Amino acid sequence: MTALPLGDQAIAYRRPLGERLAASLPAIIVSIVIGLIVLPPVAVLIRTSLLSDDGAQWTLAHYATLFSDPRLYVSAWNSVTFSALAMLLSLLNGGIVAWLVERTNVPFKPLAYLSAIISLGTPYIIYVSAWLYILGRAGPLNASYRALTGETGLLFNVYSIPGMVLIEGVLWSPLVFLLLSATFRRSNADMEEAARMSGASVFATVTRISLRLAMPAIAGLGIFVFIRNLEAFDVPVLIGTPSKISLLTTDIYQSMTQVPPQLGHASAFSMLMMVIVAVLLHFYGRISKKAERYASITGKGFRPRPFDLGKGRWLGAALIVLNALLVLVLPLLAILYNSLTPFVRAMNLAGLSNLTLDHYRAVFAQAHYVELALNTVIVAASAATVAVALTAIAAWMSVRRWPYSGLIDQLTSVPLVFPGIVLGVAMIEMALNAPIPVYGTLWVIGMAFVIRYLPYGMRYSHAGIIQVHRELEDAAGISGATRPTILRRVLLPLISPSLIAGWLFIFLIGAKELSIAVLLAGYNAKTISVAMFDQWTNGAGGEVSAMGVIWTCVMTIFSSALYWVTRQRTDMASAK
Amino acid sequence: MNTPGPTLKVEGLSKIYAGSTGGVKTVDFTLKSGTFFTLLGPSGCGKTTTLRCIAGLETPNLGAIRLGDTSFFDAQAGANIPLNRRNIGMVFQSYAIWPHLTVFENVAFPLRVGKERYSRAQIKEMVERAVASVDLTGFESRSATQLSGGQQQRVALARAIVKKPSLLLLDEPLSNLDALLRDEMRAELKSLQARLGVTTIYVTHDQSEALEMSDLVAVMNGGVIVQMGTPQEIYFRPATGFVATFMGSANVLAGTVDTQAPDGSLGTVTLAGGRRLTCRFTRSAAAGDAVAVSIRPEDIRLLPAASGSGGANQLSGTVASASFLGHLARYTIDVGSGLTLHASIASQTMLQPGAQVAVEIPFDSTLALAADDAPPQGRRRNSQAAA
Ligand SMILES: Nc1ncnc2c1ncn2[C@@H]1O[C@H](COP(=O)(O)OP(=O)(O)OP(=O)(O)O)[C@@H](O)[C@H]1O
Ligand SMILES: [Mg+2]
Repeated sequence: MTALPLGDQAIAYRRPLGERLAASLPAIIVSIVIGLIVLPPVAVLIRTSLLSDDGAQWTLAHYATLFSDPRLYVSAWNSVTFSALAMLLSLLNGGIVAWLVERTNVPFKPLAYLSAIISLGTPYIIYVSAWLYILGRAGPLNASYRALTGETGLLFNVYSIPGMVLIEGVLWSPLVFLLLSATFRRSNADMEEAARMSGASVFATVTRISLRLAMPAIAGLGIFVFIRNLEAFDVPVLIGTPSKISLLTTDIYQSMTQVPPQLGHASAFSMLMMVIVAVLLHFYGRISKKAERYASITGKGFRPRPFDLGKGRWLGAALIVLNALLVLVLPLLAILYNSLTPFVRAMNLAGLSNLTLDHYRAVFAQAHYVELALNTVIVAASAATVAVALTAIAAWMSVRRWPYSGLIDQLTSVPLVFPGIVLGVAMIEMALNAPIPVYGTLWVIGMAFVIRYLPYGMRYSHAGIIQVHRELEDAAGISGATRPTILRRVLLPLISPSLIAGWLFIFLIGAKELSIAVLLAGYNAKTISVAMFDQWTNGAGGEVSAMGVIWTCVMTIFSSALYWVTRQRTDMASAK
Repeated sequence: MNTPGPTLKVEGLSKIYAGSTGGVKTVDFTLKSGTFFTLLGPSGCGKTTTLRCIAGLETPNLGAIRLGDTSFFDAQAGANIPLNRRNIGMVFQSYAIWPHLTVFENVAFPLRVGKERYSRAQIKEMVERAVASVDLTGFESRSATQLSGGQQQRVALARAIVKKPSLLLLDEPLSNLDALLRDEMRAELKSLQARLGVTTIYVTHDQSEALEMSDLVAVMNGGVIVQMGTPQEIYFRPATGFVATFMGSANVLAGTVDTQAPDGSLGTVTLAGGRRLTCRFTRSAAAGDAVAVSIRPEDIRLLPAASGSGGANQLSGTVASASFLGHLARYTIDVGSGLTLHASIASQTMLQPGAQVAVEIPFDSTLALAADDAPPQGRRRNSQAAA
């Protein structure tokens, strides 16, 4: 303030109290609300992990037991190997397909999108059970191996870390594809053309220019997928647990499902996982900042010109078809087949002549399933609505830098450190201590979903609002509109595509989420993935498959809508 | 208008953005009702900031903004009317046309959201009148995204005037248009403003726009108003070297005053290289004062040999470079002692580089102005009212 000509008549303006409150209160209230949503789980975990089992005194005993148990290190090593290898597999698979689709003239591009979209809505448990069948003892792979060689053993044992890696890697390929294709789509073809004109071959251009430019984005995505694999629950519990391969998430799950549940131990364990994830997220944040700098977005008239692969196009096409087989056709065929055969059997003529709709009848005969489906839709939809509504307002304040909105961004990203299972543990502890009986109801699951998906909501809302030129809001203010009117009549209509996309995304992942819901579900308060999980562990694979086929069809409608809205949105943004 | 409208008074306005030194240091002006006032200055000098403070989009640190008896803002009295109660029309640099609304709805928006209520028929009538006054009749049902840049600009203008604002603020409204459209819109804007009789503050960094349209121009630099006056005053009697440069004088030379010279007199100035020129003093100056000498390139005469005519500085030099611009030719002339001059001459006969020329500069075109780093003599109130 030294530059101000502070003369005798110059009195700096100080807003009256009422005005200051009116200006700062909204952001303070929103920060407090978000804080109240995201901070209690952390507090509860810290507290429980430091309290002795009878709750009488503070102790480090849980941590001591945790770290002195050699099994922890085995599980940690398993988790890391599993996560790293699966990450590499999905990056390789998803990345190559994304590059082919976005930057070359390869045929069959729509097939890649179709596979990704359908897989987005399919519960992981459906995928896992499909792959367990395909690669399993009775499945087509080992069956044909035995038929061809006359051996009695297995060609490939899916109940192993390689089996888990294979399945997890395939599970994540579609998302990697979608995220990386966005990166490749935005990258500037001029730089590649400049390299080509300087005499570089396609191969040299790709390795020396394209890959270098995309490297920060790829590295960031790699860390992100690694974290997600570390947090993965479906594959570890469905494959690892039966084959006695312990991972961090399944260890936590087991200590919670023991009788009596070891809350303190699970909490200490959860704290450990949160710290690991937080450290990884820190690096992720640094790398994605760098990726932003590399992202060469150009304005108008930007048309990426695809590479001409020549005859290599057909090799590329083969890769795309192979990918579609892996992420879409094979699992869905297997699931369809399983839903139509009375019991698990090899895929052969005898099986095909014996198809039945019994499993579908069983599913439709039970009103329970309809109720479950409804439950799932209600919980996922409510959580999506709450998360999107809250983050739309929070992002508005944070992007426009309202007074006291500084903490909003950090607070909304806190839930990123909760692996699903960890959040489940925290929510159970909170529900047990809640003054109203919420334990085992859908409310807890819904609340957990809101917490978990707040960061995703923020991401979509933030991206939407940043695209809205600030003068569009200023013009409304000048026209006489109050802030609520500006929000309702100008901002919301303009960002609605982003909000709808965010809503659909949260809805889709909420509807198939297992790790949180499995801990929190009560007998009458289950989601469909928990029901499938229960039926699966009870050995009713056929019914699970029938449910899976129906559910996948329904969710595909939503994921197609998501894809359509997102496309619209990028078109709108680039049209500006 | 039979009763004169309210006067806009901006006093000691200062807005430094928190955590930076950018913004507006101090700005004063008074505008009679109906004045077309232009804030002119280079990028980053604080034009938009001044406008946003008047609109209420920013809260100033110091000063007061008054329209007639209403204090929009007064730091001392603690008054601050929120922006949606000021009844100001504004056209933004980006137009800020809402893409989700039709042209009609864009223009009708201020009537729908304000405190006053209008009937449906009133809204229709007012919107139609505003749309007609910017020549967009027939476009009402179009989506705003289906308009050209010039049409969007008109929609923004219609939206700004639909409610009969007490003040019209225009932030570089023509800068996104192509040159031809820009010329056309200048005249239209000016005549619209005259018809409405609304006090208008216009922001631009284009001096020809400012000269053509304004009743009153304020040249800003570094967050302060350097000079304020009619277009003629600014053009012919720039206060400082900066203003002269900004108004298109290509030759601004540093020098010192030889002998004390009163306002409007002729006197001599010694330039940095030692050469002495006779200048017209636009402000009084004492011996030894640092001044800036400004010579417009079109005021320089180039002759094959010295004519010896009185009332002009006589120099001789060599043509260093020549370029043909169509109706004019532009030369740089090396006149020795480290001095080069830029001259623009009618282009019928071109001089070649290397040619020897006599250079004549009339005393009246050789202006001695305050140097830019010199402190302003006394504290001049910049307030002035338009004629
Ligand atoms: N929100 C802000 N926060 C901090 N500094 C700002 C902000 N807005 C503007 N400034 C700074 O204040 C100064 C004046 O900015 P202003 O936008 O008023 O300039 P201008 O004269 O309108 O320039 P232009 O012709 O480029 O539009 C600049 O130095 C700018 O960097
Ligand atoms: Mg500006």
